[in-house]
Amino acid sequence: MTVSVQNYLSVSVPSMNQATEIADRSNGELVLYKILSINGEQMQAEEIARATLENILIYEGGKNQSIVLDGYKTMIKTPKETFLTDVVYRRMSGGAIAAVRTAIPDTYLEPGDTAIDGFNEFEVTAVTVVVGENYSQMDIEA
Amino acid sequence: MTQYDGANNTSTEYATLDATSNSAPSPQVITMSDTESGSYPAWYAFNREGASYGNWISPTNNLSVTSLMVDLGSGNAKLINKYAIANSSLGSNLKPKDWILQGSNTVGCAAADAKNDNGWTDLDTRVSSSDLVSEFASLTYITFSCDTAYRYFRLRITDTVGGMSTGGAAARAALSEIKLVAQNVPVTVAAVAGSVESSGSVSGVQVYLSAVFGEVAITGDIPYVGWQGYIQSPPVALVVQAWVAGVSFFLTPEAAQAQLDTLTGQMVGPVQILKVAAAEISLAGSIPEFLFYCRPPIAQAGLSPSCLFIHLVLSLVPVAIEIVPVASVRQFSVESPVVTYRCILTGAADGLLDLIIPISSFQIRKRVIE
Repeated sequence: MTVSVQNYLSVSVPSMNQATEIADRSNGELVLYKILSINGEQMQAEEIARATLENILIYEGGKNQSIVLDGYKTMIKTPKETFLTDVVYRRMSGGAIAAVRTAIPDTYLEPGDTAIDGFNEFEVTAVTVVVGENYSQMDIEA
Repeated sequence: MTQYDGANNTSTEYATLDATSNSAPSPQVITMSDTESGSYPAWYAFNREGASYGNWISPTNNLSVTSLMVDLGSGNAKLINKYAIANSSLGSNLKPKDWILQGSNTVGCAAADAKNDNGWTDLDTRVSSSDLVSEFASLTYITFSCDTAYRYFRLRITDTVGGMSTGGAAARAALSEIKLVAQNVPVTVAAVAGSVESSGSVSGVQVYLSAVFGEVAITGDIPYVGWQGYIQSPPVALVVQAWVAGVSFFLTPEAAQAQLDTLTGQMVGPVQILKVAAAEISLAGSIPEFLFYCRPPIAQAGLSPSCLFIHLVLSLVPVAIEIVPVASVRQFSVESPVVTYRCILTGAADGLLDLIIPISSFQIRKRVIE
């Protein structure tokens, strides 16, 4: 069994240095990789999200400028079981889990998966991952 | 294929390779004493366990004896003291009941008349045996004493349940698999300084064992890496999760390993990392010990051993259990991987090269669509 999963990907580019090069690739795809390094040496590089570039938004402040790129892409996924770790928040509804937040994003978790949190088990309908320079979290909706 | 017994630092090695033809993989060569049937070739008895991988059958009727032989190759003699054979799915009358397992180091004997015993040493003889069972999963291994390594092995079948000399199409012998096992093979594990993180007495819901398989020069069939320890008060369940790149799994006890069958043999490339499906292992009985092994796929093209990264989480359920420090951890270095993210904007659609974009943050939203 497979499910169709719509991916939305948004990235913030902290400078305008590559504005021209980005604009030249307006038909491109955003591909986000997770990189694992040990002792400064890259060991693994894995694609975790992909989207067709749809919007190039330029934000100008008093001192800084930045670019936000975003887009969507539909992917086909095969549901699996995943155990949740680093859970920091649970929202219950009618005795069942409605949403879970984890401190460390599980980039392998996909909508359609069965998430297992201790003795609770639920089907994931949506996942939101937010990662910045000093923070990260993942919200999982049942 | 080798399975490692960490407790005794020994391995169990299958002497034969999973055959893909009578002469592959090299140097293994499989022959039989009689004309081979195209639908039931000799190598089907050495490919993989289970009738779904095909059966070997002796093709002619009214035989008094028929033989299957395997040549392990020059310089590749093995000391065998354990074997098993699995019945075919072709009918119980074809099931062997009288047979002899033989060994030889006489070059050329494997190609000689299999009905001739010259040069062969009897290793194990079975008469009216019921040791041959239908399912490999419940296969009974037969052990015997042997202190000589042989290059050639032959299974010499002299009668079946239906009777080989009774004539007719049913008067033939058939098998689905033969497994020859060399036991107690010493294993040399290179000494590499390292330790496991978070070892020590821990009370609570979860115990994290995290380790990185660092820059280790890998030669030969070993090393394995793994964790070994025991639980003072067995919990209801031991949940194993693993983030692994490029390794295969072996987990004991065997009942637990069966639950992780989906992991075995899963290999991923050097630029991928695989989070394997977690499995819950019932420890309702008294199974205080656990062993978890990973073996790097050293034969995988393009994969540098130093690229291997292993992260293991053992979750003990329910709470209020005490964990004894993990012991016998080998070949781990203590460095933890650093996770970063990289964004690329592809350029092919615009006739340009891909562009690496420095990013300060990102957001991913995923949802199921109907």
